Amino acid sequence: MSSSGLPSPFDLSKQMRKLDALPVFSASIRDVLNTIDSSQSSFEQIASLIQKDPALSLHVLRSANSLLSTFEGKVTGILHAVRILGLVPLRGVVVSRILLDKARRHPGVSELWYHSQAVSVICTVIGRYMNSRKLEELQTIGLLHDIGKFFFYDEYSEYYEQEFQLGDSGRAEPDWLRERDVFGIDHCLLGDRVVRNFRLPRILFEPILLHHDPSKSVEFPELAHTCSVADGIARAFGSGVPEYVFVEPEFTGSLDVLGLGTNDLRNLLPEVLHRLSAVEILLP
Amino acid sequence: MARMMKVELATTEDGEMIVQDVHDMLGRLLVRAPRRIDPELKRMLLARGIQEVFIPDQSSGDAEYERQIVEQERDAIRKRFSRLQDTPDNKRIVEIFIRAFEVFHAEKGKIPPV
Repeated sequence: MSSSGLPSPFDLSKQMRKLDALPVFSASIRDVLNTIDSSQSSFEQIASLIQKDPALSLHVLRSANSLLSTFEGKVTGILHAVRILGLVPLRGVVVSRILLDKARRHPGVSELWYHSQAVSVICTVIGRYMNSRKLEELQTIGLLHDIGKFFFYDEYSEYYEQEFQLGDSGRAEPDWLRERDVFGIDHCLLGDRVVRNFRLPRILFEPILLHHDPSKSVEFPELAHTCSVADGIARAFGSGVPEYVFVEPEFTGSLDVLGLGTNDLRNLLPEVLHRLSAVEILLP
Repeated sequence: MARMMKVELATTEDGEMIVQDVHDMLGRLLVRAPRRIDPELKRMLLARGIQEVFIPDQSSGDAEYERQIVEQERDAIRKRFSRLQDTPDNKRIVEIFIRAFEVFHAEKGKIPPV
């Protein structure tokens, strides 16, 4: 830390190397990730491995219920959860478990996890409304779009405690721009690095990297703009991140790109509110 | 601000509304208010050492309390959109969000939409 209390570029460089090394996680989680990757694996095999880890089982079950129970009915077993989540979101849920375990004691992590689940659910609602063929990807992008923030919250918790006090004040700056000023890097780039390190599908990289700047998206603009809109809706309904609660101006631009007008919002928002009411607030 | 009262969590009825955020001993947010109590929520809070929660003081009147909740949330939604340009289109968007919240809140058995 520098004398100002903020991290120096040298500190950050050291921390980034730690991030690239991946957090330590249990053999059971490693086995689950490897089994999800294997093209030979069945849902039954994956569920069986998850069940060997009670904490992971609880996380998968609660995440499936939080994200999908209003779409699919109550999820009562691990195999059921694996089937309805699908492999891409399941991998995202397992990765989120690893990072939550590392950062959970820090202020703001509970709100961040709630925000992530909310954006995932809203991405799903928008994707279904637009008949997207990328529903699993959208659900996972929503869940992991702010995954880079776990790193910041974990490493600089004292700094964030102060930032949280100003999150709804007139002085608050957009979180990602503030991160660039303070750390020289933002959570979008960190999130991109995390999903690459965990070998998540390539289709997730660009939307996570550009969810605050979706107009730069070249490969998957629809996914990046959907995440941007979902993030804005979550913030509007009070499910944002604590260091910056405001809807950003990019929100309306993303609505335009997706072709969503005021009538579409009138159709979408009641469903969004209904689905959000099932999202789990407590940390698993 | 609506009146509220502190009650023992163990004796609260399911469906009762928690009206103040609940934090654990380390200050971490466990429940964001308002949220209805259900058996699972009660079990988890008790397991985390939460003994008491705040619920509405019925003597202040449900309707008045609900009106205040809705009014606060209307203001909060407007504030969260305050970084957008002040254009007629954007104002329309904000009003659609507010209306959606009002209808959702009313349909949860609270007050009739305005």
